[in-house]
Amino acid sequence: MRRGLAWIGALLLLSGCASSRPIDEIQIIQQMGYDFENGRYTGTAVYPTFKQGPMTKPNMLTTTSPTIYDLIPRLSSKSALPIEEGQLRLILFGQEFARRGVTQITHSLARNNKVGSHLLLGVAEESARELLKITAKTTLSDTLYLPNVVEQNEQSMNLPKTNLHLFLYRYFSPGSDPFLPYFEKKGDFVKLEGVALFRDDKYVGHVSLRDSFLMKILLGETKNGVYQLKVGNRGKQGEDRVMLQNLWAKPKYEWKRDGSRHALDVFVHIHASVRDYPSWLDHPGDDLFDDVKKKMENELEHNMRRLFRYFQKKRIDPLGIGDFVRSVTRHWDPDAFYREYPDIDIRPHVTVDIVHTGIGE
Amino acid sequence: MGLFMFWKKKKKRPPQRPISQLWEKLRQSSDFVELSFIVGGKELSIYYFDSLVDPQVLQEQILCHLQNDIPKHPTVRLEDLQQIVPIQRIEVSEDTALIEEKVLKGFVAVSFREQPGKAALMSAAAENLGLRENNDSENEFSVVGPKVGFVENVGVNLHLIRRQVVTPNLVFREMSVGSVSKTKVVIAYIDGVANPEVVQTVTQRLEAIHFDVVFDNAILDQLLADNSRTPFPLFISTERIDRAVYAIVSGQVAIFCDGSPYAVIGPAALFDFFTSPEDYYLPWVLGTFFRLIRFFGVAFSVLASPIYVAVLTYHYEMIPEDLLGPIIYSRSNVPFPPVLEVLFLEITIELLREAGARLPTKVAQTLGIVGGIVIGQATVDAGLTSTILLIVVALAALASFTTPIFKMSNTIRFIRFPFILFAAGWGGIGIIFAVCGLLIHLGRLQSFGYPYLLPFYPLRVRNFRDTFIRSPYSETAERPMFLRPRSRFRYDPNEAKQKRDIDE
Repeated sequence: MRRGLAWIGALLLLSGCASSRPIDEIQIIQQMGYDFENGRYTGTAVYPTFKQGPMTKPNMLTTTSPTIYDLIPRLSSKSALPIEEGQLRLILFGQEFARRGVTQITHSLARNNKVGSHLLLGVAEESARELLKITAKTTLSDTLYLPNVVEQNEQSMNLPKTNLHLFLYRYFSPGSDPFLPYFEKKGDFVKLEGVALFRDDKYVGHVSLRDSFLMKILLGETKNGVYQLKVGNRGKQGEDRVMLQNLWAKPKYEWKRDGSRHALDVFVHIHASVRDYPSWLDHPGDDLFDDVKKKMENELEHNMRRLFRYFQKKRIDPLGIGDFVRSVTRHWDPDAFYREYPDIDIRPHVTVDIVHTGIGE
Repeated sequence: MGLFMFWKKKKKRPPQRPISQLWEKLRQSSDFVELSFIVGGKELSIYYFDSLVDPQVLQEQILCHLQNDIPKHPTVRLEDLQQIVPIQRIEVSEDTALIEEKVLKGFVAVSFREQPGKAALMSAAAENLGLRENNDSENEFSVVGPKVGFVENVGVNLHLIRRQVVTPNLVFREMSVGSVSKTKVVIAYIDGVANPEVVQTVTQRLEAIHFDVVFDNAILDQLLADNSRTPFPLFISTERIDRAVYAIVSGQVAIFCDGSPYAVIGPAALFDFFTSPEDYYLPWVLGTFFRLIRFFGVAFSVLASPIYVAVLTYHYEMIPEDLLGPIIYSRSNVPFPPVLEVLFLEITIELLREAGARLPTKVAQTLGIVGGIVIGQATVDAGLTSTILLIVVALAALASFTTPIFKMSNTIRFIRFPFILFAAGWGGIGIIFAVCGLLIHLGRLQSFGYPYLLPFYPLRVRNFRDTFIRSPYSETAERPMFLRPRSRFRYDPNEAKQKRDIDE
């Protein structure tokens, strides 16, 4: 009996140590933007308020500070409720900020147990604050416009999968460099423009959404994405392209020594459907698609070569070629590899299988 | 007090006490009747309690024959009355204590002047007077299956059991419990199936009971329990015949008690409380499905509101983004922390249930509906609770009623409250802590010495056939081995598995 009372007493005393954060007494921020302007850092937090109904317009808090760590405490001084970052879904970096390196943010996120590794990161073409302001203004019911854009494009379109977990993996891995979705402001709208590329933690450039399809299939097995290809010069404008829809694609890398230098053979097998094609292709009897297939393969190979050259010129490795080479090399030396990296002969070989044509699953 | 002292004194005194003193004492009651008359030259006296005997039996079987037949047999003695009176098992005794007990049980005592101190005891008890004739097993209802339930009369109950268990091995062992009520308690088991150790334990525990009035089997249930400090029922109590028969056939022991329409069955395991006889009447696929639904209902009922408290107080990170809006919006006007909100609503529901159980049936239904709808709607409108919580609590209450045994559903409603308090104190860790505590407690429980968590702890994989799933009858020929029955199979397992699709 006395022991039981002691237990209950101890438990009651202990319960005072837990810090409770009832959900309606905190300011949940869902999106965060970081900018660097005129020598000062700007932090922008987007938070929802649900006082009028389950769906409302997102609100914004903005503050500037000469240091990064100071931003959230400074935001707190403008907020009626304590700011909690546990529901963060997206962090957007302004381009200038990203150029100077994002480690300070990601390193803190990596250790923050409140934030899930599913958190999305992104880069804005100009200022993250401007972009968030537009989304907060134009989207009435959807407080998570940008995260939804990213997720939708990852799931069914050309964007390769990214999130905090993958960013950190690629950042810490000696054999690859991270990349993030890249947004642009188009008038009063926000547009997903492609993929922002990083060297270590610094933004160095971006590729278009079209090229990001190539990145997506080169990164690993994928089941979605669309790619428009030019297949001929007959007919009118717009009558010479086909829309290729990826059904299943898988890359295979082979690392070889070719004389004095190394070569990397990349075999990509794409099972695709041709969703839209010009009417002149539709001739029963003649197998015009054989010809189209060759042209597609050539163009894909050409574009891939261009993409690889771009990466090599920038000395970045978003595809994780270093990681692949390490997996087939004993005593792999990252420094030596990346000294050689711009001169590696990367040879893409694309096979396209047209599974079916036309609209229809 | 006086009555109590009387019994105490009686024990100390030597049993032999003049019979006249007994009659003297009984005469204090106005319903005690003493008839004396002379027939055929014999002076005889008849003693009985008017309130206990059946007047028809008394007149037609006893008085009539005494008056008509004694003159024909002038030398008749008390011991020979069996020849005259058509009443079964006439007992002649000099033991005052026995006479007293029998007369108090509704026997008629007949004595002759010439044989003083002796009395013939004839049963004329109005067995069913004031008792229900039948019971529709309303509290353990099932749509399919027999609707007849046990009644207050233990004789009828034994009859109902013996009708279905037609074997000479079915043993009824009778004993008397209660210093005042002298309640007839019957242990029923199948000799050669039930483990003798269990029978021994039950008998010993029943013999060791010191209590005055056994109102119901539920009291025996508590007095027999291995651990009196647990909220969990350690024995099944059922008013359904099929459940009792199934238990007896499986090798368990059933205890009947006069005046109670419930049978207490032991040893019971936790999972017995979540099986319903209906599982066995439906095809096994459906039976299994509904049983799983019931288990889910229990888990949901215990955990739903604690999880609500924990997530809203500590773990806002866990809320899916689509639920964030509805939850925050519905909570935005509530002035209490989530714990108080939950406790308020849980207690409201408990009040409704308790009021519904105490009121007459017709009023209770109305109260349940009106109270549920009006109070629920009004609390939400007044901003005292959130709509989402209302749904959670109502569903949890609903889920707790899926448990077929009433005692267990009470337990489930009770253990929710510690869980809520733990969730309020430490969030998710608190819930895990409470679950662990519950498992430890369950692991330590015993029912007639058998572990309560069988067949899970200790693990008996072969007996899983009738726990979470209700296997088809071709697989359930074997009795649950953890009961250690003397005979392994209920029916021939090979015959049960045979398919007779050709020689039909």
